[in-house]
Amino acid sequence: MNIIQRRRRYIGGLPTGYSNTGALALDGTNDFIQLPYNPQAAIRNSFTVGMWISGDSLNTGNGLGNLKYLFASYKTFNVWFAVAIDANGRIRIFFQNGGGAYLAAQTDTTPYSSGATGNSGSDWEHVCIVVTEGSSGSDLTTVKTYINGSEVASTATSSSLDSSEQSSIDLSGGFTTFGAYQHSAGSSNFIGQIPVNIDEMAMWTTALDANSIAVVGNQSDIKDLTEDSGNYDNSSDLEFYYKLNEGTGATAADFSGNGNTAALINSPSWISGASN
Amino acid sequence: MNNRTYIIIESGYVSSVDFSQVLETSASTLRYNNDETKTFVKYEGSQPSFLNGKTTYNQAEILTELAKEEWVKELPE
Repeated sequence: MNIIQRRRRYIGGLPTGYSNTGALALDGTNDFIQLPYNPQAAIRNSFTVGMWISGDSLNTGNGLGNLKYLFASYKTFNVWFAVAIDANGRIRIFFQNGGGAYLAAQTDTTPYSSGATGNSGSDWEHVCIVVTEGSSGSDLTTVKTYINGSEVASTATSSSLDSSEQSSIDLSGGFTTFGAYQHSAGSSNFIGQIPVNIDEMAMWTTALDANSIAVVGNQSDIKDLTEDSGNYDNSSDLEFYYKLNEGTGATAADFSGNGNTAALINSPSWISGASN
Repeated sequence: MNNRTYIIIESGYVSSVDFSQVLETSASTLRYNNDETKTFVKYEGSQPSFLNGKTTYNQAEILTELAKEEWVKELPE
């Protein structure tokens, strides 16, 4: 880059860090975040879901089987993809296509058990789930879980979902939510609420690599995901991205460029953004 | 814990709820117990007059109530 190019690049001022001003606090009783569509096309291929979370009772409270849902894309009881925290403080992954194929995984560790760092209330942690479709028809789908940019061991408790089954999953007419899952039409039909502070919710239409996730999940430098930075080069792969910096109102803007404004059901509280 | 107040009401009382004074989005977003005889609403600040005289809960207390069997729904099939 020559001097002229450098001056042009910085016209308007030197680049500054991301000012992450806002987030949402879900109370775990009846509030959740409802997307206006189902990202079926993304879920039929390799994809990644990430978010910052904090809380002091992530593994307690109500919910079917004591599971609390961070994210779910749900059509019926056997057609869904979901990320939950169980009563032991494990992260659990469910992915089922309705035809008998099933992927279930859970972390070996319990990062959100009572007393654990991630369940202390003040620390924001980045949770990232990477789903990789098998390379051909009978190759199995795999899943990895990352916390704060580092992979945590995941155990597949059951895995029979292959590439052809993932690529044909039919989530049409289903519901996609953060903070609970909605199981049928009508906003009152939701279960698995979690009391959690949540921020920077994103899905990418690719399996982010470890180097990219190390940037996205860096606790000391929370990034604007619409801008490539260092080893993070996936800004153009965003399926949806909710910064949650509005600070007021009952909707959340999608910064992916896809215009999927989310609805905030039953008034989650606006709070200060994730920081560490 | 937040500074919101929660009140459990009978389902038949929903028609008396002024949704401009509570934090629920609408009647259609209320969460009911399993036999749909009860629901709850939440508010911040002063108690809406139509809720006067009813038992109040803070967030921790309502979460304890909602963890009871009558509020935990089974997986729909």
